[in-house]
Amino acid sequence: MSNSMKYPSSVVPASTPILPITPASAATVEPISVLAPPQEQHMLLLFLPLKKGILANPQVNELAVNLVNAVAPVDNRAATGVHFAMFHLVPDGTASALPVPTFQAPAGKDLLVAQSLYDAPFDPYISAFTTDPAIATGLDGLLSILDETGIPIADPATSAAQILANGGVFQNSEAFIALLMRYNFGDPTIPAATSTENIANPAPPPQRYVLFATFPGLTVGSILQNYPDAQALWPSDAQPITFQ
Amino acid sequence: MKEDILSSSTPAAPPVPLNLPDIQGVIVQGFRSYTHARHFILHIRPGQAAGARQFCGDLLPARNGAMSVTPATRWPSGYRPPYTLSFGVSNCGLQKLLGDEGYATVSGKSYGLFAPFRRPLEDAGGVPGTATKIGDIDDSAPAHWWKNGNWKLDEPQSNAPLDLLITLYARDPAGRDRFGEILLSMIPAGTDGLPSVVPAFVQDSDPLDPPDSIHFGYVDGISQPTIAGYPDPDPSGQEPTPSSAFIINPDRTSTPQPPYTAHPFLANGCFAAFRLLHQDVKAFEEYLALSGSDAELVAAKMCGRWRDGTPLEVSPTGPDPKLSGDARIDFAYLSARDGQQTPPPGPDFDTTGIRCPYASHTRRTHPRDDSAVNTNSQVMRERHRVMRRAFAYGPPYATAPEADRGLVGLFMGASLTDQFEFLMQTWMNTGFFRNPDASPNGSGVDPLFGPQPSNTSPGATSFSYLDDNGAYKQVPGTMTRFVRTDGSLYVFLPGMAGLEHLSNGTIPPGA
Repeated sequence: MSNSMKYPSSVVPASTPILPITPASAATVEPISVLAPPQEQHMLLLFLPLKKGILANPQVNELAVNLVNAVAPVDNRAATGVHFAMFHLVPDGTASALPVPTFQAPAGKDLLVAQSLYDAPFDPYISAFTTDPAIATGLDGLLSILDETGIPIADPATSAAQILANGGVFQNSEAFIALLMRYNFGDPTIPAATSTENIANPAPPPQRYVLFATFPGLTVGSILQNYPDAQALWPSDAQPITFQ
Repeated sequence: MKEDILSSSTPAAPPVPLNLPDIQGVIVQGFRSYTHARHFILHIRPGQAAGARQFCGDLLPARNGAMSVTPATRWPSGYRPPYTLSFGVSNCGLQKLLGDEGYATVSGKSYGLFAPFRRPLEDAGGVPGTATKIGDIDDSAPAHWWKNGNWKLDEPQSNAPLDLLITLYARDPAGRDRFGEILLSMIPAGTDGLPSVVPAFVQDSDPLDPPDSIHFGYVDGISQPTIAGYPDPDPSGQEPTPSSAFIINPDRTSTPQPPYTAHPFLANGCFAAFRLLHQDVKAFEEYLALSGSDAELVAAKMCGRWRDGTPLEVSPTGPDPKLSGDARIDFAYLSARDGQQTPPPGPDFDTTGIRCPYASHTRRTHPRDDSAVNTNSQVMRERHRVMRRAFAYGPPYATAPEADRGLVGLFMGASLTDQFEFLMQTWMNTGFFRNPDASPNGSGVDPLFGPQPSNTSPGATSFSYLDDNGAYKQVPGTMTRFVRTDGSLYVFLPGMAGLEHLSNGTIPPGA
């Protein structure tokens, strides 16, 4: 077996001589059957109670812009490992969007549903956000519009109000993680699988769901690293997409 | 390449003044001339907390007892005490000494700092335990701990709460025995006439040749953090770490503001992971031998330093015995530090890891100026530093190949989450922590530890480095686990005022 491999050209720093890619031999490639924790994919599915009507407040739009701007300057895609994200607002009193009950806002509050599919264990994923001072400040803005009145909170230090009183997310990342887990339907211990054996035979309750992925182990980092011209196709300063 | 959110134009804040008499010396001093250590893990017998509190009080320097915990106060010129002592208390020990109410108040006001400290070892209810988080699985799992023959209690390891950790540092074995006996003789009798506190596990460590080396043959402990504000008699040129990363500062108005909230009881204290790490020298050397005449180069690529401590980044072609002091410490991976010897020309000079692989132990645990490493922005890089006080135990491999040996000691930081656990979880046990990283396996796992037995993925069981032509060269064979966790305990090292509160079962007023 050859023990020399070359750089994939897409990740070669500009100052490094370009070397030809040595294609892997198909005969030596085995199906993925073992995944280490950083290669697992998981789901975050948050149901966050918001102050009623808060989204009509122009300051909230400013908070969102600030958060997006905080994320934008840094290419932290490999660190966060986020493949997909979804945000959905349910104002207080809104009827279900489908002819069966779906997401419902708690009485007297609005609801923000946020979903993400991400790589690796939860702590490294979320710490990629909370350890960035600018992003953490943006997350402080999110905490400022939460309404946790009437919600049982086992440890007061993990309430949005107390986190803010204690200096915010950057200085209270563990408490912020505990807050997120309070509203997370997703289970960080359930990795995405692809085998019918994994899907058809999930762990019994309290496991809440099974998670399917077409490419277990294909992390955002490995895509950026190995897909030809990945950085050129998907630059970190995202381009507007025209959907035809 | 990632850029720092906060640029270097951020003005540096003046160091926070340190109250050295209140800080344990082990946090700021290496005690390197105290080469023979004995670690006592102690169990407070049920119902005997009063005796344990008295023991804490008797160890205060101000009490002038037979022995006392060593403060960080600088020693007079030419003087060295005959021993030094550090004191730690575990989560369950803290509950016993402070009582339920005091414990709840302190932990509640210090949520983030206590989250890892009180987290169960084992997974429970879908929540990963500490062992899973930091990779203590397979034969490193807690069920296998404390079984190297040094367990002192009749009851099994799994049933005995481990409450206190006292480490005695002596200059020679005789001194260690003598002061060890004195220390144990200070334990008061309990209400039943028996000792209130008993040893559960006792582990010695002894120096190898050279004295600072570990069983894998590397000189260790070269690049420890420099604490801002500490009057180090032999300061290095490296960037100082804010003292709040190692000495807990509950003051919310200080600059820079500490990145956590803490109850005043924790003031001037520090958390630490006590680790008993068995090292499989035979497996390590056999893996190196697969590279034949390149074995020493591979050893250097795996560590990031040649075995004599010479940094690869400074001397990529071989050990340089002329290097000493700052020249072995104060270097960077992308932009040369002042005085850095033989840096390659131009900026961003080792973005490929051609001199020092990203996968190497020293680069992944302390990436220095490499801001392309996850969360190693300029703001965060000093927040992940760990202060190590760990030494070799067991005889040299050459003299007794079958004997138990390894590394034992403290890995300290104000925040176990941001420091010890972060290193273990994000940089050491996992790959893809740097982007881009063109290595074939995303830098896999820390090669000085190797993959856990159950992790048989090719990415974890291989190690590659760039040869002089810029091509990746994979070490032949399969990399196995070289380090096994044989014991682990999180402790809090209180300040002297905190130790006095422990002796009284009280806490100071909250913030």
